[in-house]
Amino acid sequence: MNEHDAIHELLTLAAAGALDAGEQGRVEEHLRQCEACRTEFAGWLRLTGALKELPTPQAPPRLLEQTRRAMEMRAEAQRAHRTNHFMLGLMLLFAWTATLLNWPLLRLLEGRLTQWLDVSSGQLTAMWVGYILLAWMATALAAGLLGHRRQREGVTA
Amino acid sequence: MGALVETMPEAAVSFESEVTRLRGGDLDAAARLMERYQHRLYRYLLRMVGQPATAEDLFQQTWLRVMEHARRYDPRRPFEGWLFGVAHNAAIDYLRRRQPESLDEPLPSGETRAELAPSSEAGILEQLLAQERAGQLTTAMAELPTAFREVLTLRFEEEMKLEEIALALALPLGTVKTRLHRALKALKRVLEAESGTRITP
Repeated sequence: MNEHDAIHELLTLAAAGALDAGEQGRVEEHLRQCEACRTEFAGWLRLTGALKELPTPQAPPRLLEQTRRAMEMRAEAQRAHRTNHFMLGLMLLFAWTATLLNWPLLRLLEGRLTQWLDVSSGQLTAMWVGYILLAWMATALAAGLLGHRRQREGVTA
Repeated sequence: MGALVETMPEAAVSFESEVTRLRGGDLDAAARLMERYQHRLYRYLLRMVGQPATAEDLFQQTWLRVMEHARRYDPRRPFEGWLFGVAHNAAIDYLRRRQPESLDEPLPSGETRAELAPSSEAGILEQLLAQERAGQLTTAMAELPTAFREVLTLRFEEEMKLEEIALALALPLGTVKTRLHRALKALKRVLEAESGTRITP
């Protein structure tokens, strides 16, 4: 590719103001000597000038208000989501604490309970584990159903 | 002039403070920034998708995403570049859903004559001629592939630097240059083809 062809390929970017100083200098130097490139460059300048002058389509006035409302609704939904997460965490902490506290309580009252229920110590431990598992499963089921319902409400809202 | 120069630093400080408050999730700050960029962002999205109703939807989606990801914005970067990057992603997601095969399919123009507001300073005949020229140019732009329309509108209408375009579109600078070069050539070809069929000598 000779210098003329190389510069010819740079004319679009020169008109777009997208060349570095060195390339721009080369183009300007060539334009001083080459009539054909000057004419071509003038055409590109007219086109880029026309692009800069294109009228700006105006956003409809209601768009700002609509977008603001959408942002408020989204922010409200996110706040509710965060609150739900916090409450869920709190409940989980409470459930674990209650479960762990149950064990020393069981040990403390083991004598009276085995007598009252008329079961052995091993049976009492098995009953306690069963009770805890049942309580956790019931809680998980309730949380799952609640979450599913909220999700459906969110989709249909 | 002096007053203008004096108010400029204040405007810059106020703008930075709005952006800082936006990062903190302040809806009022977001609304003020939205007002500031409304026409430019809408124009960019309209050039991308061609349909005013879709551009409005994407405008909303863009600001919802801005609120959602505001904390991720790096204040050392120009806010405009980041904002147009978010809008770019929203538009590209829409175009991918609509055109899963290719993003380079030509789109019909969504422009109306009413949107091409004439300059109040020009005479009525000049206004009509300017409208006609602008109409031809926007029609020709609408026939270009999305990637070409995007780089043209960011460079010439948004007057963004190539580096800013590269950041907004997450592209290497060289790719932006090549795309700009090809876009201008393609636009010229379309205009020549249109004038050849429409203008009688």
